[in-house]
Amino acid sequence: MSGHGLPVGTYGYDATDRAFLADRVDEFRDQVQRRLDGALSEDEFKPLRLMNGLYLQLHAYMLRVAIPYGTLSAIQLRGLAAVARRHDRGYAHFTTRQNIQFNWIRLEDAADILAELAVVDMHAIQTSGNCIRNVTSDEFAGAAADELVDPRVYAEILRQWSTLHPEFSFLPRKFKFAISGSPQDRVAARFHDIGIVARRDDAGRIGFGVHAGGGLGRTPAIGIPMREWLPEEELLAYMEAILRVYNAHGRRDNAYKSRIKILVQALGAEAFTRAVEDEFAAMPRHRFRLEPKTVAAIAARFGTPALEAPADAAAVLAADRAADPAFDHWVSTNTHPHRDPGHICVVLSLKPTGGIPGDASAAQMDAVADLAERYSHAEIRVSHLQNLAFGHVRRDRLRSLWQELAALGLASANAGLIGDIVCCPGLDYCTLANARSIPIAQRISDRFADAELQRRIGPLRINISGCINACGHHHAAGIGILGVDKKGEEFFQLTLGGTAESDVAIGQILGPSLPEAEAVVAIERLVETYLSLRTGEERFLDTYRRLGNRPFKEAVYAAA
Amino acid sequence: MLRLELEPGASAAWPEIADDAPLPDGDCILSFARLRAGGVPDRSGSGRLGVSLRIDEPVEALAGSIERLALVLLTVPAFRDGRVFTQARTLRERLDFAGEIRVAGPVLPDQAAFLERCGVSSLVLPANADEAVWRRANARMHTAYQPSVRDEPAGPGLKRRSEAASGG
Repeated sequence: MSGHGLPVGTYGYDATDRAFLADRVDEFRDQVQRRLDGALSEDEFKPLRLMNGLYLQLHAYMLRVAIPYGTLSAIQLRGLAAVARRHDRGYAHFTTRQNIQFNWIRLEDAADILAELAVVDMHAIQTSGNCIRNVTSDEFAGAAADELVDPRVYAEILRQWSTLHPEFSFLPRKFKFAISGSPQDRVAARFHDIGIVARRDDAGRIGFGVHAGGGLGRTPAIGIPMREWLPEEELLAYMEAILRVYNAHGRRDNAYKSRIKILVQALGAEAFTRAVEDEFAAMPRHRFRLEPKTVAAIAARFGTPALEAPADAAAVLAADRAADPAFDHWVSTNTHPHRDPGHICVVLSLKPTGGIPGDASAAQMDAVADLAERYSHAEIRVSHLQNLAFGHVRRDRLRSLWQELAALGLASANAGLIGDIVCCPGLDYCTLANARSIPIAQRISDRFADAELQRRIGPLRINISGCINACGHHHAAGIGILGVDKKGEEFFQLTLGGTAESDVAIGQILGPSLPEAEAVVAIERLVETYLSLRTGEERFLDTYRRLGNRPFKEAVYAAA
Repeated sequence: MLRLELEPGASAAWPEIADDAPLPDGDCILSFARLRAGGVPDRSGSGRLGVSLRIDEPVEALAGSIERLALVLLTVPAFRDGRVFTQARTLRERLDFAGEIRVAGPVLPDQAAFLERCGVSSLVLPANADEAVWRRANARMHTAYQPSVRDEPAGPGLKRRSEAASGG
């Protein structure tokens, strides 16, 4: 904790913020009561419960809780663990949008759970519904050596501005923001409805690159550039202009064609940009001006870590790595350079061999909260790749942390490797799914359990979605797997060549979909083909880009 | 019909006049199509004029005639259709409309505060609507985090008080 008692890395609520959440919980309690009384029809209640994160799934209600820009305090993580124990089955699931989901919720308990979350300054506001969703950010925000601007203050500004927005709470469809402060895109900015990259000009002033109209789902699209440089003070005005054009003109007759990307495609990038710029020019921008004092007031609610490390911290880590090859391998995959030479960022893998990607038990959550207090200023980050991270770990204490993580099953040395599978809940839970995504993830994870093999394969992302809605972001992976329904049977379609990083690309379909067992064999063949064709240290993506899909297609389908 | 005032002083029910009917004496509402075809009639003291817009009719088209209009009636086809919020806000912020904005159609009590903060003056509700539920819903939230046409006092940060003017 900082000297002021504010949580490190996230916005510390004040009395007004807490009163706001209390009002919101009361409102939801009242809405549930009106539903039970019959004053609200299910049709009318549905968007209200969705805007409080409550879905009706296959077996029970699911509650999706927001983790704004992916940052949590240890106290908040313990609060989530308590909900998992009391109201779920002792575990929870971290999602690709830095949210956490509880899968076994009763409607009667939902308002009480929201009240319990409010005690630790958490909520489920706008984690679903046709509104502005949780604003996601970089899991190494405020820590990474390559960062130019800490995006979390701006993510918080966007969170507050979008919360119960009077004009944009009944949009044509859901609306997702991501914001990064590093030139290395770790937030998939161009796969969001609005993707923002914070940067600085030569004078050190903060501004934003803005993309709009990106997304995955049924119609994957890469966002178009709207502004190279949007001055800080215009941030909210410009967001208002984009949202207003979308709210007025986005389609509402077909849920599959109502995202902003479809409007951008229908109008064309130029006409869409002109419409936004016209709106921006005509609106009363003084009303929306983001004053420096407003930014300062919100920034002042963030605790900052006192980064103190012994002078030999880096030397100690170097010696620890030299002494222990297993530790050395883990450091090479699961850490990221920190801006302070005595510190390092750490990925806690939620991808054990054969495990369910993104799942964590209540015991693990409590233990991670304890470790965060001892090793990383009581702060925990959640990544859009369904792992956890610590932002500020002293280099000389990294080996000790690794040993404690290993004891908890959180030290798989696979971040960014083939074992680091991203996966939606699939047909085991979700009403939308066509296929179960978890079992195939587990089988692939088992198949590539050998850590040495994973390292030899190198950076290769596998993402799995149980249906075309693409919550598993399968288009954004080197190998994407999409569950489809073929006459009542679960099949899997493979896409190759996607990435959400700076060299953004949408994965392309390889060929006809396959039953689960054959799909797993196909993944093996794709990897073997890559290993036999790559030159030197070439990544899977680069081999694919160099050779196209032909050798991969032959390897999968010729023998079949 | 029940009318819920979101701001004090909203006026009484005005008759909506069919496109082929003559204008009566007194306040009345014309369709957007009639206004667009025939312009704003000169009423010379015989009553004020309002216009009724469907959800897909562009409020920007009223720019040339807005000063001679006292009321705009916006009809919502379904509570999920959020275009009405942008229509109201555009009237206030781009057209500087200072008259009454009235909303009719199937809106929810939970949307009243949003409508108010977008500049809506009054709601036309079904006769059997429970006004207490609407008043309670509209008075629920005491804080907002973004600017609105009401220009509530701001700070610290983005916060402003959002207590409804007539929320009780």
